[in-house]
Amino acid sequence: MADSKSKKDGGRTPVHLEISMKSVTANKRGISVLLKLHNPADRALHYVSEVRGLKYEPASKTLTVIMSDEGRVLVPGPMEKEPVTRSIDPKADAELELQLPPTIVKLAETPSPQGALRFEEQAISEAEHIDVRMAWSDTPYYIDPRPGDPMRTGLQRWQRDIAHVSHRMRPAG
Amino acid sequence: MTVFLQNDATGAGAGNLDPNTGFVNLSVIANLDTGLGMAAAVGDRQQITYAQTVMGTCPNRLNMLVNTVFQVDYGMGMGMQTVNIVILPCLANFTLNDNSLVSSRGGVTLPPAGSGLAGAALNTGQDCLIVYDTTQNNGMPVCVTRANSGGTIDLPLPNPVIVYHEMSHALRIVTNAQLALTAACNPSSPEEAAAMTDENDMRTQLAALLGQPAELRDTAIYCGALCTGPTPNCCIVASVASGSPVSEEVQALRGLRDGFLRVSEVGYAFFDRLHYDYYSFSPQVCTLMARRPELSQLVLSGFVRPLISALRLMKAYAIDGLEAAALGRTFASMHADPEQFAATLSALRGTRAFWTGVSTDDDEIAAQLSALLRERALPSSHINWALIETVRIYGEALEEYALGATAEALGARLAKEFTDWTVALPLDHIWASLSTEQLEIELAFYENLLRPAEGKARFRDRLRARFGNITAMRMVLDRASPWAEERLDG
Repeated sequence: MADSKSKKDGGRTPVHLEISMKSVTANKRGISVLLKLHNPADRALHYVSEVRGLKYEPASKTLTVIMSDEGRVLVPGPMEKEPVTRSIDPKADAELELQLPPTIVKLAETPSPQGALRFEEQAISEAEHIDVRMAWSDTPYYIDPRPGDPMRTGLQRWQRDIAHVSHRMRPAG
Repeated sequence: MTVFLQNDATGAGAGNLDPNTGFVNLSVIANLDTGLGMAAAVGDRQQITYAQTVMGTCPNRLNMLVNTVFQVDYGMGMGMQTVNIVILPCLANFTLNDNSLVSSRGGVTLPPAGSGLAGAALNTGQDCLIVYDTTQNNGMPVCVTRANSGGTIDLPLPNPVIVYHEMSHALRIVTNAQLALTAACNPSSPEEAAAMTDENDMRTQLAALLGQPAELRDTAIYCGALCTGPTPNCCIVASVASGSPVSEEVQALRGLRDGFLRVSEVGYAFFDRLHYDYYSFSPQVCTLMARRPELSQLVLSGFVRPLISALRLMKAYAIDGLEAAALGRTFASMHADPEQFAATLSALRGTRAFWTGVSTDDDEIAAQLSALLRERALPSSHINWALIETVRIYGEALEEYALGATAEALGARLAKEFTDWTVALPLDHIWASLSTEQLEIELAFYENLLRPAEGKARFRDRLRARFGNITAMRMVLDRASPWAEERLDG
């Protein structure tokens, strides 16, 4: 069980969201992660319930499931997608199932010697360690309409903290 | 010749891109012009060719992109370079080099590495890349804001529209004319507003192709959300009571909040605290309403609707400049139907009992609701000011009206109450952290809501009493105000 204590209080009662991994199954079709969440506070908490990024380190076979906008670079695109969130009642438990693809594809760090694009396909279903990082807050997600602080996404501005949990996969067999 | 379609993800094996969908999307942009084609593959990409035969804004733009060699010096020491545009029609498992899934963005346009433009850090080569998710977020499409809808996010974002939007970015990148880009969702940044303006050309063309009326995007708002509907996070009690997070009542509250009040730093800080306090009890209120559905109707009639009516009257007086007499007439006209008037009054009295704890209802759930509100809502100065006081002002005016008060008398009463209420804004600590310039902006914004000069003066007195030891605040408050003369005269 890992937890995430809120850092900024600003007169608010300290709260935290606890997450743990109930089960992880991986095969050629993908990875299924079942998370268990616990809210020990006496107020509802709100958390991101969608996967917004995946990071894989082949050397350590570590997969990070990113349910926040941490590290996200500002790029032109068709829209700023609001996070999908859920809430968890005070003193309550909840479960969340994540379905991940078996592989991810990304641009290789360097192009070919001729300058052509190269890609990497990473078999994340072979991960031996899985980290989940989930943004949460004690209020629901709202768009921030202020003109200031324009370089952070709405989710980055909203989140009170990131709950995280690490899981080591059992060796096969 | 400058536009290419990537047809394979080299190093990643086949099947990780969808060039067929990519070409179909380009054909739609060309308005099905058969002059669009592809040259034979060279390496892992195919050059787009276009001998234009169909005229129109979108085919013209495509023709220009395809048949121009873009040479540009980004001023980063690399000299003049030729920049091609390469389109990557991806699947949902494509991740960018900041680890974000392309499905969580819909698409991106990456300027050449080293160009110094926004997004260049994620590119590894010298082409301008249009990367987009052909799967529409794995079959869970994202919608954007429909024009003239008050911010409703329900307008689909089809693939050709995504590609055309990204081509707009690409055009400015290959001509080194990228506009200011921010992560702001509402209001949108200049770069995104320009791309959305272009996108609407594509929407118009697509609608004509399908024989439907054009549905355009609000270019001032860049936000997107799942088309299945936004998370019902606005005004949760109003959502449950009115039966929908997109009901007229919830839209009215959301419009007042986001369109006006939360835009200022002080307004944002206020709502941050209000949301915090509100969500310490509102989910439990909704649970109680679910257990006794008739409670929802009572909360809707006796609290949510009166709150909206009160806020609309306040806006009409403070922002739209309605005079007191006209305010009274507006109030009276809102209650012209005697039956509805009696029902509203009865509902208001019913909900008032929950706040005071003097409920005539022996129901256990009603008692729980009353206890919850007294324990969690009443101690909050923000809840009191924004919600309880507002409805109290409205309810007392309604009681006066029931006793036969004239519209003129009601108008005078409401104008005075609204001014007193505005002066009594809970003062958050944000006031103490603002610079002189910010303070001037925030104070001017708030004083605009306070019509009588004596109201502005009383508000300044409150600020001085609370924050007078802060130099920036003292400087701003000591400066002569445009309304000071009015106050002396008055």
